[in-house]
Amino acid sequence: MWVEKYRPKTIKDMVGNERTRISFLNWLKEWKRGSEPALLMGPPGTGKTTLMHLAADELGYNLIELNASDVRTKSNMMQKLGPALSTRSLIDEKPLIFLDEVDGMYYRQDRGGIEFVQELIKSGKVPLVMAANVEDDKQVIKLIRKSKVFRFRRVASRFVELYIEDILKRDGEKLSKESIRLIVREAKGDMRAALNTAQSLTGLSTEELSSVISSRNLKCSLRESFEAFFNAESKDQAYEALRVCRVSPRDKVRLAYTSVVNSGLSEDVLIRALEKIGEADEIVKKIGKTQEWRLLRYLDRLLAYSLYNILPKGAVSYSEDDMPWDLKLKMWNEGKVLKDIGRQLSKILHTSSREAISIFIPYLLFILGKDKESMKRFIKLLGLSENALKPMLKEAKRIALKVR
Amino acid sequence: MIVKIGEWFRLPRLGRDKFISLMKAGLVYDRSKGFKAEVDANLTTIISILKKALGEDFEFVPKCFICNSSVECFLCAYYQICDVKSITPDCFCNQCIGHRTPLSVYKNTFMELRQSNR
Repeated sequence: MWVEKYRPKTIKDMVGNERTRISFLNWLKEWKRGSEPALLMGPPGTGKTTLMHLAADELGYNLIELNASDVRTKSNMMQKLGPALSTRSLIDEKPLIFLDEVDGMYYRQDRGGIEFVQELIKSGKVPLVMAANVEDDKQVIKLIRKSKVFRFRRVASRFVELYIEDILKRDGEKLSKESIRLIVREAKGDMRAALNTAQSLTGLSTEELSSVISSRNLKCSLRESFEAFFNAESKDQAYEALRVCRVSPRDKVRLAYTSVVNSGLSEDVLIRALEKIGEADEIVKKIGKTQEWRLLRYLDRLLAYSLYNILPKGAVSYSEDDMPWDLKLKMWNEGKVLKDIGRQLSKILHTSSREAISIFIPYLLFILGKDKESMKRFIKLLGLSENALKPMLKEAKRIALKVR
Repeated sequence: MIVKIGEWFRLPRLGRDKFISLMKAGLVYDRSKGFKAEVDANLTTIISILKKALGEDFEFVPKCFICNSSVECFLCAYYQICDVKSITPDCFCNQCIGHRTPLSVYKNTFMELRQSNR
């Protein structure tokens, strides 16, 4: 990979964010026990991690790195960082802790990780550097307050162009000026993306390259992707429709679920489809927990192939939510009224509220029926407000219909 | 008003609240030199405050990392996609990019800047 092969060897070889690089180096040089940690913040491909590695090399630090692919629970972090924090080795090496992608540290997967980072910040025994892509993450906001922030910006396109030209020359590859410009435009200041695209597309003519890039940019709407998925003629078509859909894996599973449950499928088909969606959901959950992100590559094919075999073509249409929000809210309010009635009734009948709701309320509502006055007296007896009347009448109507 | 990022410029009195907002957004003030947008300033916020306060267009332009002159973005091939507010404040001007080995000139300038900032 060019990104690895031509990774800058010294800080001088990097491009972009010049003043930030210098300020960070000065911070690291002047670091003393008790100094605040550094937070390198900026979009991907702007050189945060590279700068960290090169700065550690240049200033003779022993870099201890934990990135998103490590499980960053408190115990794991203690195990990896503990020796550096507690003792000094015989060779007197200078440890430096680097936590990459701290905005990816979530409570569930990295249990206690953030608390451990807070402790590290407090202790100030060794230099601590963190890197994050986004600024509006709750945890990053907390870290910003306690850290010296170094903001990285996207690299100016002219710099990216020069850098790619230089690497093409070093690698003996050729691309026309127009092709290089297409790649730079596509990368939007992300040096890593630019290099990866350039490496994968060398040898193509400008026209071919342009068509590849524009097909990559083809952003299908969610509806289009899922409609194409449910109406696919073949397994591969179904897979392709899911693949181009640019939403998170979790959302893909969610949208498959909401579409399937709202399409009036027969019970047998619905159960089989839900089993497959459930399996996919479990996989996504496991990947999130173990942070084995590479396994996500199997998800689209797994979901597409398994559902293609079960769902009749065109039987499912796209649906974004199991039901509209206002309807959900209404149902929730009505459910709350029934729960309140159940709770009050359980006191009178000396039973559990669950039993009151499932056994007694349907009979009572059926007996009271459409008689508004009796219903009002009943509500008063239970000590509930008159707001309960409407949902009760509705429920009584539903029961009456069911009985009929 | 067009201002180079990182260069001092003068503003009329805008009132206490606006001044505080500008400082919070990363503008630096020096009584003798005026105002300056630092590298990590929030240019989007600064521009929107100044546009409203001055009642005229306000723009930041990048400056050339090599010769410190203004970069004429509208002559650049990336004019349409480069958003000055979100990219690094330094770029190459049309003269400096035409140098035979612009990347090595850039590296040398970086080293000089680093020496002067030690």
